[in-house]
Amino acid sequence: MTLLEVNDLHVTYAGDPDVEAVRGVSFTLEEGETLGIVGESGCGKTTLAQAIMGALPDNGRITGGEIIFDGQDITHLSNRERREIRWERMSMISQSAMNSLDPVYRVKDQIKEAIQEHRDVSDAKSYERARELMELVGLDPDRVEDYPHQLSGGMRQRVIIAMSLALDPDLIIADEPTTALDVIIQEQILYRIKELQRELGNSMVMVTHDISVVAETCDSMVVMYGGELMESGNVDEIFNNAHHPYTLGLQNAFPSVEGEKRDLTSIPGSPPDLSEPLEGCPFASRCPFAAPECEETVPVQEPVDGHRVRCHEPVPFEQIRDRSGEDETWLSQNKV
Amino acid sequence: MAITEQSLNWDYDGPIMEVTGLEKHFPQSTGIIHQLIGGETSHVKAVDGVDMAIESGETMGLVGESGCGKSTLGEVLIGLQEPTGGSIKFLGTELDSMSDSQRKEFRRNVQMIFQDPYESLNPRFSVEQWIREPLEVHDMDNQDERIYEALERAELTPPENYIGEHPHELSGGERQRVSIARALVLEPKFIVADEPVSMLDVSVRASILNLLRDLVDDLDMGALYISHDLSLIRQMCDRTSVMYLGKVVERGPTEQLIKGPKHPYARALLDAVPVPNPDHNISEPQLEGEPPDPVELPEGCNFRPRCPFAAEECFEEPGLDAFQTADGEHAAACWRVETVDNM
Repeated sequence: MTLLEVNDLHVTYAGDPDVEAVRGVSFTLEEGETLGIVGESGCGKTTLAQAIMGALPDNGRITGGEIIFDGQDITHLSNRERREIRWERMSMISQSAMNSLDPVYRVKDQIKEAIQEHRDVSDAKSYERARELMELVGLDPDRVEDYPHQLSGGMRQRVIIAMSLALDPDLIIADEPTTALDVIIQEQILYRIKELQRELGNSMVMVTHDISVVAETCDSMVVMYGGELMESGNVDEIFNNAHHPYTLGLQNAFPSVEGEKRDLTSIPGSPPDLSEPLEGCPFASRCPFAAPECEETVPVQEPVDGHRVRCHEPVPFEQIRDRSGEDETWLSQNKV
Repeated sequence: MAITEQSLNWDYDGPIMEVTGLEKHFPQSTGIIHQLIGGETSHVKAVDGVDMAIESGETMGLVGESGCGKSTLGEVLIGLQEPTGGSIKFLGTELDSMSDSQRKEFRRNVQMIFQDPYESLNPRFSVEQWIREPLEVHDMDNQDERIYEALERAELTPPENYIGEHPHELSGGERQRVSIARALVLEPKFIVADEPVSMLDVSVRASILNLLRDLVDDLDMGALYISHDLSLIRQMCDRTSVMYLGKVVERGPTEQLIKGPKHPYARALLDAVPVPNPDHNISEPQLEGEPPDPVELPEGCNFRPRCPFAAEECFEEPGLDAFQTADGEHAAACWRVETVDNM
């Protein structure tokens, strides 16, 4: 069963000039599945997550396409209608949420509020639920009595996860849930999120810049660049058989503690200006394989079922794969 | 006057930076009543007896989780914080015994590259002003020439394109290069880089890491590279020290340490690094919870309360010589290395 379907979504921030941060992104998410959205800063991944959640900043508007959630078109719901879905049916764990707990209220009051906002539940019942949720995320239930400043960063992030689970939503959107944390706490939190997902059966969208987090926690993935989807498919396929030069560039830029040590490549240049309309592939100006046709159109290829690549294949993919592992290939482009 | 003043010993062929028994304890602020009734002040032992020697041309990695004291150690090494115990020798000269002019020389020769290129640059300064500032502080000659050379070394070329820019006109990678140029403009012999790429996009990280590595080689500097992520340390460092609660618990050649960590904490730290390989699913963490409060340290081995392999013998504190390879290069402060290796 498909839980979430995003079709040709466009999101624009009003300003001077307007910025079109998401430019025609499509993907589907099945029930119980975890989808990773990866890309670098400014690629539109957080905007995409906020658009799905109905939590865009005030100047952000969906300017095209649709979002279908559990069979219902939620693209243009009113704020009130969105509020009913938000937290009840989909919830969000964000990078900044850890610091968004209200410093003057105890943890129990903040979890209780999240519950009672949506459900007619007694104080005693929601207090009980708050303790239960704390245990679920691996915290001592007695710490519901604490104020946020009494908790470490990792503990606060667990409280946020507890709150996101409070109403047992079908979909959890996690936007860089562990970016500010060190590797030990990151592993604990990601492991807990995955365990809970196994127990509770919800679906998840994991937004991150870290492809190794996607490799370890996601079933499928979308690689974004310049507001557009570059490549998508299941995680095994994309890691073992990536076709897009940007995906390969990211993979070769990423260090690993596994296997033999290898030199990392970097991708010189900077991302496109999203306040300008763009013909062709947004990555063309940084792509060492770009050909004239890349400045004009972006065709979609499907090497195997479910694996989509938006690329002209200016040289054969086998060559792209081999050459993208060498630093000289990328350095032939302009420097950062 | 200047003739009689002793300069630092530039012919010294030992480690450029050497610390022994280094301590940095912060007094815990206690209430006034507590102090009036004569209560004892407790201390946070951020750095608690560290021995470390870094050679010229070498990058030492320093890895540990948040709060292990690694950033404090870096700050003490370059004189941003006064140690509360132990010794620091730069070019073989004890920091404490340096004359004023030697101190000045020391300060010019040790520099830091910070984590956040968005916060560490003054937004009102142009690139030129920012890089000139340390030259003014140290009253250096040929400033323009030095600024150009530093920009070129940091691969901001041609320098004239960058010199008038302000931070908001630069990308994250460029800003970190400006920070590097500022650190290099005094031609230091020792640098501390504290998570210098963690705020940068993946696609520019490698270029900054490569730049730092080349600079250490070309300028024959010593460097301490601080990170919580062993995959980054691996790209940069010849040797690595693992720090836990203010102490170095393992030290060795980086590849050897990554392929065969010995201390249970180093094993856990390595296991926690996510791997860009889909066959590698996230596994149950080896470590639960967070490090204890460094005010009340446990008896014996600091890591004992969190250690899955702790035994009776661990109530006695192990030194770094508790486990050593035959050549002495790889050492771990753990009594149980062989037992755990055989498990």
